[in-house]
Amino acid sequence: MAGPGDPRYTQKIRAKRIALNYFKRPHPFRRWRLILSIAAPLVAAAWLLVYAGQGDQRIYNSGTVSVAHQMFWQDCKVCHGPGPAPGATTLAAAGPTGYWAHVSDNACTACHAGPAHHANEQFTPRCASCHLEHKGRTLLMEAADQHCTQCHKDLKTKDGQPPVFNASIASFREHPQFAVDVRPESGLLPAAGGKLERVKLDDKAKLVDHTAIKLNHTRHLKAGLAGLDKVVAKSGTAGIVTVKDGGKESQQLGCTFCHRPDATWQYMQPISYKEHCSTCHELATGIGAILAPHDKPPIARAYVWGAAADLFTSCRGKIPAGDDGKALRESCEAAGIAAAAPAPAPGAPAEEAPSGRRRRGAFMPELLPEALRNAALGLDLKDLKEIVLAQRRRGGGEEEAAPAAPSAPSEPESGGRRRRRGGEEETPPPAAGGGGAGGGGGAGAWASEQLPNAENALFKTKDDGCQKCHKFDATKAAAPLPEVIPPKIPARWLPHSKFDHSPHRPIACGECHKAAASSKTDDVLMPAIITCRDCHQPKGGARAGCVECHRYHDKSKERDADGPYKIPALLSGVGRKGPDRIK
Amino acid sequence: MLIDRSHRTWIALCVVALAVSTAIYVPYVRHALNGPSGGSFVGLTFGIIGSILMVFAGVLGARRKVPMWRLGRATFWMRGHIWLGLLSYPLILFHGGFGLGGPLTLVLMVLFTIVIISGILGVLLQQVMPRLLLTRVPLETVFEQIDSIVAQLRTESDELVAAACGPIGVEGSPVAAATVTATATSLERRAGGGLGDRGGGHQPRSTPRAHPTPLPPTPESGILRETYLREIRPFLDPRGSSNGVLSNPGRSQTLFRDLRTALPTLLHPTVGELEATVEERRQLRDQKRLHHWLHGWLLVHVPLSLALLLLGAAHAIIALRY
Repeated sequence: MAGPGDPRYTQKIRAKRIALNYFKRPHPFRRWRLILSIAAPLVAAAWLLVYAGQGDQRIYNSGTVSVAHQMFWQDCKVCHGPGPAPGATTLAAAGPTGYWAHVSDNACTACHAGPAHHANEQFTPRCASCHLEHKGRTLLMEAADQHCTQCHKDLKTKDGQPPVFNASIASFREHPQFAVDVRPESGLLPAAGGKLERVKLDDKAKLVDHTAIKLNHTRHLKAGLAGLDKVVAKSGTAGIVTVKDGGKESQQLGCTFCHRPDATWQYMQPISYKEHCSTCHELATGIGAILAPHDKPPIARAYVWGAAADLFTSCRGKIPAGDDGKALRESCEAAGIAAAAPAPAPGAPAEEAPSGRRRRGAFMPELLPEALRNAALGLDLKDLKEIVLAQRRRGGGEEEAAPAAPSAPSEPESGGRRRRRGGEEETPPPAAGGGGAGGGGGAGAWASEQLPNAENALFKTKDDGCQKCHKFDATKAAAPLPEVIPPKIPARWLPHSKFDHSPHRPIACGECHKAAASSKTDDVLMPAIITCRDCHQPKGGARAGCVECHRYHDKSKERDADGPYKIPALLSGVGRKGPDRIK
Repeated sequence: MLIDRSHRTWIALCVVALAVSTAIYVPYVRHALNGPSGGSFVGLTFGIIGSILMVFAGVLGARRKVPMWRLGRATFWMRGHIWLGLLSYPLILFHGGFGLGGPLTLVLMVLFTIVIISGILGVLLQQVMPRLLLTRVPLETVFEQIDSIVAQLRTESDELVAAACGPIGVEGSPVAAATVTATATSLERRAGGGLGDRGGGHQPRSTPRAHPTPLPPTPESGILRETYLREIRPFLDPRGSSNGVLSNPGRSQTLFRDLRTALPTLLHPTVGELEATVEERRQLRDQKRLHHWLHGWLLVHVPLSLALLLLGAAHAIIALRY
C-alpha cells in the first residue's frame, strides 16, 4: 500500500505537489458555502419584503386567526392597540400603537358589546384573557374552565354578600346537582318581579312540578294505545314507534310525536293541542257532532252557541237526499233537532244588513249582539274579537253578499237580533249560567237551550272536557265561566344553562328523561347531573367544560344588531382601501 | 471539534441550565390560565435567553473572520457554539410552548431544527471522520489540492507509460504528440520552480518525481499501453468517475497481477509505479468522500443559520410590537 513509509511518498515529494497559493483560489466547496450563505438570508429577506410590500402581516400571526376574525388577520393593529375611538366610523386605531400593543377591550367592543357577566362580580377580566386568538380555527367562546373557576372555585361578591350561586365549583366533577324552577302549588306563575323557587333535582320532597297541566306519560307511552289508528290515519307515522308487546308487534306513541325539536334543534317546540291531543281528546259538547274549539271558555262557549245555531238552521233547511246529506241528517238526529225544533215563523222579518260585501266573521263590534256585550263574562274588546275570529274560523271565512236591501219582510227591531244566512234569525247567546236571553224561537233560541249541557260537558266534568288536562283558577270560581290557568309548560327547565338536543340525537330520549315510568303529572323529568356525567367526563369522551352549558355574557344585554360601520370603512381597517369589488 | 473531557464544564453548565429552565417551565405551564405563550413573562424570558444563545452561536462565524482579535480562545468560542447553541433549542421550545405558531414561527422552527440537527451531525462526524481519515488515507493531502494532485499523478503516469511504450497518443497529454525527451525536458525545467502554476488556475503543479528513463521497446508493451488507456488513465482523471475496476483494491490488485504476468520483467517496475499511483488516487478519492461528509453539513448549517438569525430578528421586532 502506498503510504508515508514508501520512499516515493516522502513529505518533501508530497509537499511539492501542493500549489503554495492554493488558498487564494476559490474552491467549489467554499464557493458554494459562500453562495448559499448569501442566498439563504436573501430568500428569507425577500419573503418578508414581499409580504411587507403588500401590507400583509399574516406571516407574523402567532397562529391561525379564529373563524370570526379571518378578515382581520392581515392587519395586526386592528385588534392590537388602543382600538378605534368611541363613535369612530372606521376601525383605525384611536392613537399610536407603539410597542407592546396588546389587544385592548376597546378594540373588541368596537364590534362586540360584551355584556357584563354579573353586576356583583369581583372583577371583570379583559376580553382577550378569555377569548384566545391565534389558536386556530376555533370558536372564541370556547374558553377554558380555568377562566370560570378562577372566580367560581371560591366565589366572592363585590359587596361582600354571600353569593347566590354555589360558592365552590372547580370543575364539572364538582358541579352541584342541577336545580330547576318550580311553581307554587297553585300552579300560578308569580307576578312580575317575583321569582320561582329553585329546587335541586335530588330534593325529592320539594321537587314537584306544579305546572297547570295534567298528563300521565306512562299511559300515553303504552303499547297499543287506543286511538292510535286514528292518529296514524290523521298525522301519519311520524313519532309513532313499533314495539314488541307480548311477542307481537304493536304501535306506540314515541316521544317525538309530541316533543318535536325547534328549528335550531336546541329545544323542543311547545305542545300543541291541535297536533298532539285533538285526535284522541275531542272537546265534545253533546250537541250533535259539534266540537268545542281549544280556546278560552268564553270563546269556546260562543263558538258552540254559533255552531249549534248553524246546525239548527242547516237541519231545518233543505237536506240533500242520499249520502250527500247523510252526515247532516245524523247530526241533526243526534242533536234531536228534527223532533224538537220549532218551525220557522212564516214571513219572519229579516234584519237589514249593511250594503256592500263584507267578509264573514270580520270584526265588527257594532254588529255583536247587545246581550253578548252586556253579558257578565268579563270579556274585553280583545276577547270579543277572539269570539268573532272563532266564528270566522267555524264559517270557513267565505264571503257572503249582504243584501243591499231587505228582501224579506222586516221584523220589529229587537235587541241583539241580527240577520243570519238563509234568513234565519239569530239570537245572541245568553249570559253564562243564565237561561235563554234571546227572545223568540228559531236557531238562536234553540242554541241557547243547548248551552247548559254543553257547558256541563266542557267545564264541569273532571274526567273530560277542559279539566281532563287543565286546571281552573280556584280564586275565580265565582265567575260565570271558569278561567283556565295557563299551563305555560317551561320550554327550558334550567334557565342558567343552555342545552342543545342536536348533538344528543344518538341517545334515546328515555335515557335522560324517565317519562315511561312517570304516571304523575307533578313528576319532574329532567335528568340529574349524574346522567350527564356518564358521557361528559374524560373517560366518556364528551367535553365537560363550563362553556358547554353556560354562557358568560348576558346576551339579553347584547347591543343592537345595527352596527356602526359602513362596509368601506370596515374594509379600510383590514387594508382594502380600493374599490376592488368583485362584480 | 472532538468532544473530550475538556467539555465537562460546558456540559454540566448546560445540563444545570436546562434543569432550571424545566423546573420553571413545568409549573408555569400548569398554572398559566391560557397555557404557555411566547408573550407571557416567562415565555418571553425564555425567548430572550434563547435568542441570545442563538446569536452567540451565530457569532462564531464572525469571530473566525477576525482571528487576531483578542476575543477569547477559538476553543472557547467553539465549545460555546456547540453547547449554548444546543441549549438554545429547548429554551426556544419553552418560549413557544412546544407550538409551531404561525407561518413565520413555523419557518423559524423548521430552520432551527435543521440547523440543530445538522450541527449535531457535524459534531458527531467530527468525532469519527478524522480517525477514519488517519487510518484510511495515509496520503492525506490538502483537500482543495486533490484534483490538482490527481492531475499530476496522471501526467506522471502518462510519462511513465510513454517511456515504456512510446507515445500513448492521447489528446491533451503532455506526451501525446511530442517526444518523450522534449516533454521531459520541459517538465524538468518547471519541476524545480516551486510556484509552477502561479497564474495557471487549474493547471496542475509540475510533477516532483524524477522523470522516467525511456525503455527499449518490447512487443508486449502494447498490452501495457492498452490497459493503461482503458482502465488506469480514466481512473486518474480528476473529473472522471472514480468508480470501476480500480476503485476496488482487490480487483485492482488482480488487474496488476495479471498485467505483470503478461509483461516482461523489464516493464514490472513501471507496473509497480502505476499500481502505487492508482493506490494514491484511491486514497485521494476516499479523502474527498470523507471530506464531503466531514464538511458537507456546513453547506446546510451555515446558510440556514444566517437565514434563521435574520428571520428571528424580524420575529422579535414584530412580536415585541404586538
